[in-house]
Amino acid sequence: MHSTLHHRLSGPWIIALLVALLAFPPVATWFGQEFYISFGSRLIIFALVASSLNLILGFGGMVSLGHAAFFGAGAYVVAILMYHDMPSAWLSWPAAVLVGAVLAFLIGLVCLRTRGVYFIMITLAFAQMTYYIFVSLRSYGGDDGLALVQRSELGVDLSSDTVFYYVCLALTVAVLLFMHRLINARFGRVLQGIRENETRMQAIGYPVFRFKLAAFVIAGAIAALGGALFANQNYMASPSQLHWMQSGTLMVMVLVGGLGYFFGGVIGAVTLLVLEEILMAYTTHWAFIMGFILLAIVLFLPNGLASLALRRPARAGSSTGDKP
Amino acid sequence: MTSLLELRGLVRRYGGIVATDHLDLAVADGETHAIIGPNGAGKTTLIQQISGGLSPDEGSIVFNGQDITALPMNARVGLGLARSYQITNIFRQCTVLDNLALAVQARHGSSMRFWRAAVDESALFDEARALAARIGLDQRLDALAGSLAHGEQRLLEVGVALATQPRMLLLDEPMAGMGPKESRSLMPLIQSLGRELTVLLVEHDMETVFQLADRISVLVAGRVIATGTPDEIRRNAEVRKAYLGDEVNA
Repeated sequence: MHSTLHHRLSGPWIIALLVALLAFPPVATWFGQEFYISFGSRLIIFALVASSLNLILGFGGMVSLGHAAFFGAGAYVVAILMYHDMPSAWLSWPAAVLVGAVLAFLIGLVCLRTRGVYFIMITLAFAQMTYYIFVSLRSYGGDDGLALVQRSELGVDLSSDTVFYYVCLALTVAVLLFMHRLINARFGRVLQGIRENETRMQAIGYPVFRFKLAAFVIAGAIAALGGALFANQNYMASPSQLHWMQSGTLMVMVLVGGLGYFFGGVIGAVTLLVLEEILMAYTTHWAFIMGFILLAIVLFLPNGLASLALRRPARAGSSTGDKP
Repeated sequence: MTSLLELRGLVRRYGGIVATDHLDLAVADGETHAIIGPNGAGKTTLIQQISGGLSPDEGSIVFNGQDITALPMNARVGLGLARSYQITNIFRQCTVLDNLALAVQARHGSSMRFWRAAVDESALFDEARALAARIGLDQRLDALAGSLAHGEQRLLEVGVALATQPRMLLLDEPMAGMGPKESRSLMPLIQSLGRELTVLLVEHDMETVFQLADRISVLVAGRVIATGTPDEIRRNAEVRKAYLGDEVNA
């Protein structure tokens, strides 16, 4: 059966990728490039956060320009709890997820009543409000951010970059697996139906708002988990994580990777961060070159990099979608 | 005959224009009731209010004995009141089968399910296939809805509404934009639907209306000026003057 709403994972590719990811830390150590293990963790964390945005943006059609709010809130929950002598990951990471979910619920409750440009603007406004709240929290570092004296205590030694890398990898793989189930389950079909035609979904009996809100909350919770990891990665929570530029970067990642492709967020995050890393090594004007590369991608691959390799959720009128 | 749908004193204004003007209408259980009227008579505005896409400024809508005036569209569908659209409103990027399966899924238990792949739920797709056969699209299951010919899209439009298993179906100009040949494929479908459920049909094409409807209401400037059987409507002098003109003299 051919279905544009069902997203298959291509087995061999995924296994190869997983093996490469698992082998990365020992290989990097072997070559004396331990620095890149930490860089790898950053890639993985952003792959997770960009994927959470892809869930609502690519699969749900909700153009949120406020995703950084959840990402940053997750980081601050970890930092603040640690500041108050609660370094346990078992406490602070779930707390971050919970706070992300609650924040997304409250913001979604208001924002999801609007459409189009209004939705973009109001999510942006809420994220900026969150940003200024954290900037104004003098006792938690204000605009300097709040440093972590150590990484969270998980039972394994997270201060080792290699261990931290594997923890990030395990969590991200688990969450992506969940997201994949979610997208292909009834819920995901409804979500994609809403993206395709919200009015008609209502007209066939779906309480559309409830489904959008649920997706928004799930995405917020996942982004907050990414934020909790990122605080550990950097030994700090910084207001810049909440800034709208961060939301914009996440959105660019999803667009570059491929809206509505399961691996769109992953591909976009990796592409952007690796490009940045490479270009920075050559020139201080890296952002200028980056701009041109992104422009080229958007111009020549309007559906993102994922459209090169992966099965395309075929568009109407294209010859690929019309096979009997 | 008891009425399944009753509109009481319905009013809807757009600024200074009264699109629906203290309108009363009763649709009997089981009948195929057509609404005709010249352009701008307020037919689509009326359908919008019945389906829940627009709320009336005054008056009430009673469906199956229950006041549904304040219910949102999706809740009305749950009670068995579904609609099709004049301007085709399907999931263009999805296959025919997915279009129907999505609609079937809406009333098949909760959709807040996060784990099991929906494509494995054969109940959804079996029913969707049966529906596709019913609307004559069983050869086009894997085609994207947006790539179908106009006539096929119109069939799917009705099929998606039908998939909600309504007790009453609101058909807003189902023949819109169809040539005479295409219309002939939709006629028998609407006819057979009319035998199973209550149909409220808004249609421009006179031939269709007089052939399909048990009763016809004539809408002019937001009010019903006459209701009756096709024969009564044909003979009604006021209707002829207001709307039909010479069209049915032959």
